[in-house]
Amino acid sequence: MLAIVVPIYNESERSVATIKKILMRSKSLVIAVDDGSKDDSLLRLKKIFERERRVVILNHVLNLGKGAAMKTGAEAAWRMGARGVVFIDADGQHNPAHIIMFEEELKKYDLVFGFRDARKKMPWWRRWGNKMALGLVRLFFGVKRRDLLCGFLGMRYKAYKKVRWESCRYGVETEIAIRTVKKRLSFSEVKIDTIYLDKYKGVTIIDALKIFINLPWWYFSK
Amino acid sequence: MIIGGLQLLLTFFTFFMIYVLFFHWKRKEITLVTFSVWGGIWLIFILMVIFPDFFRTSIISNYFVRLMDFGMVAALVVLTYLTVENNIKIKKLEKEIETLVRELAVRSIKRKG
Repeated sequence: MLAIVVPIYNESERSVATIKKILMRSKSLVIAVDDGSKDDSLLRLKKIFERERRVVILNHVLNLGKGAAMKTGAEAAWRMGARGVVFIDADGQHNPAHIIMFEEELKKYDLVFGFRDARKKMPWWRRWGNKMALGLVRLFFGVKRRDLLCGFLGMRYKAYKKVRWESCRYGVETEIAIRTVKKRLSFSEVKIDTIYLDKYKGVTIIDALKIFINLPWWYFSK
Repeated sequence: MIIGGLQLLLTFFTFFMIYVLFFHWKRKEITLVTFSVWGGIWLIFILMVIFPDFFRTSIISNYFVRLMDFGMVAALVVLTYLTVENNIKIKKLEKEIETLVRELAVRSIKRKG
């Protein structure tokens, strides 16, 4: 069994639409983790999906960050008997139609990462931030990846135990990528649509700087 | 011995800090050990303020040109220690809060149907 984990923070409208699309495209269990949203995300989710057997809604009483919400979702999935998880952002930037590709790839690989075409629609600062991160990871860890900051990814239970991340916020994808290489896990990349709906949400320059500062730490930590 | 304006100001400030410490100790917000350590530091400070000549001649002259230099170095050492200590404590608290919040969320799993 596979579970789709959707970390949510202040995405009342889009998270509902995203989960509805997932339910249409996949037969997997959906675990929505509200990360202490200040808007009515949690109430709306509970109201709309109360009777939906395939949706489990969890909530953090405090905002911990995307990485922590992903970890909560994954651990809930393991407790419910899932053998793999696919993470998808709640803000509509990932097309749920691609989940099927992740499900297929997870039959062959420990981890599956989504990648976006950097030339398409990606704001220039994100494109360059991503390029810098890719260059650094290639330099330090010798791994060639096509998109380091994409939150659309999947992993098996076995892989989760090895890459279990410490990052609570946006460094999580980079940390997973680095741990994947360090633990010599098999992975593949699948091309996903490049969708940007909100210029000012997601990884900021400050987050990117923190990611770079943390690179040596992730490199030397177990 | 004539006490200057700056010395007077620093003396008042030191007494105020000792009062703050005493107040927190009486409210059981800090332990007797914490109160004693910080009280000791402020006591040394007040002695340096009131008797600068003694410290200048007996302790400082071999290592520092001015008493002020010694004060700056000592303050930097204390601040560095406090920063490291605070950082470790904050990280520990963050970790504990994260574990607690996530555990509460996972425990709330209810099977439907």
